[in-house]
Amino acid sequence: MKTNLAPKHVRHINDTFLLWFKASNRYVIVSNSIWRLIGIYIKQDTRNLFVDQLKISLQLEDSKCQDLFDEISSFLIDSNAHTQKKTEPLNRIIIPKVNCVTCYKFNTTVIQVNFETPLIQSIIHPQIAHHQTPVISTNFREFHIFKNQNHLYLFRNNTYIDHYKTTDLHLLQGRFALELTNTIHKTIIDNWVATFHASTIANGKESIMIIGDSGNGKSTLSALLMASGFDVLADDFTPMYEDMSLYRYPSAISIKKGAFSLLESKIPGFNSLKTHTNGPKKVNLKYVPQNQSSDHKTSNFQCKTIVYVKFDENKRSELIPISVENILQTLIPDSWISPNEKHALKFMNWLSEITCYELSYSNNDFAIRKFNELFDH
Amino acid sequence: MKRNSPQDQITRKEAMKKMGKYAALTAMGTFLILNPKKAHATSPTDPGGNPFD
Repeated sequence: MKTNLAPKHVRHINDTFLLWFKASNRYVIVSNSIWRLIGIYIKQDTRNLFVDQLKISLQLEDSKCQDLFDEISSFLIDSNAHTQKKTEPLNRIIIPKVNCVTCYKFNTTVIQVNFETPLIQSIIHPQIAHHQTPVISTNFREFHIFKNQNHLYLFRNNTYIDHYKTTDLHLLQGRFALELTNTIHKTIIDNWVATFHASTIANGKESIMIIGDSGNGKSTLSALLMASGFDVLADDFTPMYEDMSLYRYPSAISIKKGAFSLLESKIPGFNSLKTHTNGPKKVNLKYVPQNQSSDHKTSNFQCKTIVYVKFDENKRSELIPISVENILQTLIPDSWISPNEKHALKFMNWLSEITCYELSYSNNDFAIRKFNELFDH
Repeated sequence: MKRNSPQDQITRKEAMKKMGKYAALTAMGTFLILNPKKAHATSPTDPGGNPFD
């Protein structure tokens, strides 16, 4: 028996099995037939016993059985290898003089972010500019973000948190988003089950998570749904807490130029929002603040539905149920999921209970109508 | 469902290599390895590119 190589947890979802390996924090979706092969591999002590059983039970050729043994062996060893976070030695870093001190207020929580330069400010500020408040002298959590050689550094209350290569800017943005989420919801990093690359819409009672490949219209659809009265709980970055609710992340919705003309008639004041010109490609973006109305203040909602969205102007609009394993192919590689076993187990249990859909649409009214129907159900 | 964002595209050679590593297994049925990200992140690439480039 090679039970030490077996996945730590297994869930039977629809017609497939979802495996989780603790050492690598790896999820694997396998069919019933492959799960059975893995079971035989774990049970049989030697290559010959494995090959003999496959020859008898599956009538496979010897060479095929040998290949399967090698591949399962390689796969299980790989999946049980510990992945270690790369740690680079941190030389003594002194926080430099800052040029852009900005305060933000989220309900009753105030933070101060000290950006070293306007360029560094431009990578964080536009998404949360609608929460800016005058600099005040009171208790607040303070962050420093600055550049030293080819790295960006993040400090909280003058304590080092992490640093990232400037080419990995999205990791700094993601970590700052999590720090902000921790501050707003008064918790710590260890209590989050996942941060999904997803947008989340709520109706005051429950939420629906929207996923999709970049450029498929998640943010534009979120803005349209907000204009139709829904609450945008989070855009692009959706945190899941260990109570298995999705929590609010109050950044603005980032809208690319291609959607400006569509949204100017739907969102009051859209034209007066500042147009940002981002990066060396000079792409125009507007940041649409989430609706701040008092009925959109609830911090978290349960979520039992995920919709994979795909805007395609040449296709007929349709909403079809799809299997959770189809959703996982996008959701897992695009998201951070806690390696904590307790969290992995909760995540797998949650996956067993959710309903998944694919929404292909060319007609925005169709998409909004379908979201209304999903919430009504 | 196919993931096709630019950051997820791999070359044909890489795809063949990946397929080849578990060719016998994938021929037997569904076999998908999904690794979550190791760090929290927002959208991988800003549509305007990296301002530090």
